[in-house]
Amino acid sequence: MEGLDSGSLIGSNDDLLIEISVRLPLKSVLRFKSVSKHWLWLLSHRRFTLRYDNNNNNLPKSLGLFDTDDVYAPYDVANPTPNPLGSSRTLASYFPRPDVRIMQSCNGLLLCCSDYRHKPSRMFFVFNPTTKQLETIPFPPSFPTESDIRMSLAFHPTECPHYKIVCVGTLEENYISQIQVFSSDTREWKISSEEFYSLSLSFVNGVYWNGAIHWPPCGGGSHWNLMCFHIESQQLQKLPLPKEVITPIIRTSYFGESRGHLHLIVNAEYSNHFCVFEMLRDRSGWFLKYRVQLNGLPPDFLEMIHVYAFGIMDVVRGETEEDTLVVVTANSILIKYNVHDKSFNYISSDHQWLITGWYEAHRYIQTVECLVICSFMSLHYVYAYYVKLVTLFW
Amino acid sequence: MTSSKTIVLRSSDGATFEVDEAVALHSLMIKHRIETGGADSTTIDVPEVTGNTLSKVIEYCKKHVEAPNSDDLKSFDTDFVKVDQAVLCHLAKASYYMNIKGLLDLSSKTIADMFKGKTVEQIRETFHIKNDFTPEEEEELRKENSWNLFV
Repeated sequence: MEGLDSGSLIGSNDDLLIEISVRLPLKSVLRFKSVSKHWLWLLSHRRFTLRYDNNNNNLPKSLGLFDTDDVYAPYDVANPTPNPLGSSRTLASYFPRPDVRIMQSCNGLLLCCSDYRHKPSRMFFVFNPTTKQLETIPFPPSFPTESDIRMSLAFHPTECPHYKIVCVGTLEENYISQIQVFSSDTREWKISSEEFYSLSLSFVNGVYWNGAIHWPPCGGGSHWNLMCFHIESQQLQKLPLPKEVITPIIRTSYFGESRGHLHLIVNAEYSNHFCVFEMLRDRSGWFLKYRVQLNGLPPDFLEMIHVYAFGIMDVVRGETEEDTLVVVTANSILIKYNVHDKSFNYISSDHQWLITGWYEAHRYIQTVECLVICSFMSLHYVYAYYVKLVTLFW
Repeated sequence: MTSSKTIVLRSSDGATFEVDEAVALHSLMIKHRIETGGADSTTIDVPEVTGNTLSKVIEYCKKHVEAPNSDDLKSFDTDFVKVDQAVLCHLAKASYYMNIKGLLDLSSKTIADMFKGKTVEQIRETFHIKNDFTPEEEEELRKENSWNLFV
């Protein structure tokens, strides 16, 4: 008899259900979505997902790295998170098309592309590796299908529940480049007013930060460009490079975002030390955030930096300044290095880590954010809203 | 002897409990009531909570207010939630309503641990929930979650 009481006590109380569910492990949350339509709605709702994503557990938000494929390297050495894709499954197995690669990771969502070896069949997807939800992105209407289009994903769960995709492409007729923006709520592409000749701009490897997609520096000689595209105003902006960078040759060694900070590292390939620049929030310039000395690393690793390709895979800001890490690789070895106390750990990946380009490493952030709810639930949303309205006035 | 003010808390079934104000203030709901209360703020009704549960809640608040740094606080908490499911659920509901964060954390976590391993069917049984998915809808759900091999 008492069991009856307690069950309905909690079961009928959404607030209590949420209090309990935010303390459940991920597997249970995803499993319990199948209990009933109400639970599916509740556990997919932002009220729950935002809290769940931000609630836990002393886990660093950045849990690990994917390469462009399925290889996964968890950051936590003591309690490594398992490969969210499953260690024996390929990335492509979650997609309806073959030859899938990850193009960009943005706050838990992955922008992926299939058929990357065969452009005309190419398709683009937004994939949540935590929940395995997949959305196909329709090809932008005015660009020819064989053309070189550049896609970037803009998503920040607390800013907006919908993601946007920015696509830069060239019109066939006149070789003018155009920018289109796709919004996940309308599922439509809108053409922005930006038009230009893009011969010297590349628009690949975009990073979403502070309301805009930023592209790493590109150009040559004395002509360098650092561009960003504001999502709201749909305007391009040219940005300054760090004034400390004066050499004519700039190789972007790392460009990425972490916890609301945009980082840039240039020309780091051949030395044991490099500078991490951080962009000012008003985008007026950069400041030198860290001078990273790798001398604390094991000598045999340091030797490899000069012999093999050396790459900076990630710069991860910690919850506190003392927890900031840099993840580097040389000769398939991955090391995470604490910038402050210079401690380091070897990270192991489930398969051999072969990449050395920062743009080929994609962060895994766990999120239960629901991309799309099952089609049959649309009526339930209306019902739930109606019930809420009625109870408000009763 | 310290002259501390006492507050009387009255449960849904009319049971009354006299507690030190400091202990009562551990509940942010009561704190708010007292701060915004009118003339008669010495007796506070707690209609969402029964006498049995309220007495346990007070026991929790007493321990946490009077001896917040004691070494046995952890073991107190562990033993505190070694109660049956019904009592635990009532405690969770009371701590949510009375806005007692520590107790809400403790009871919710304990309940979450109890349920985390259950199957979907077992959850439906425990909470008396009807499966309102049609077979087609379940199939669509299953396809979406096809990676999840554990039911």
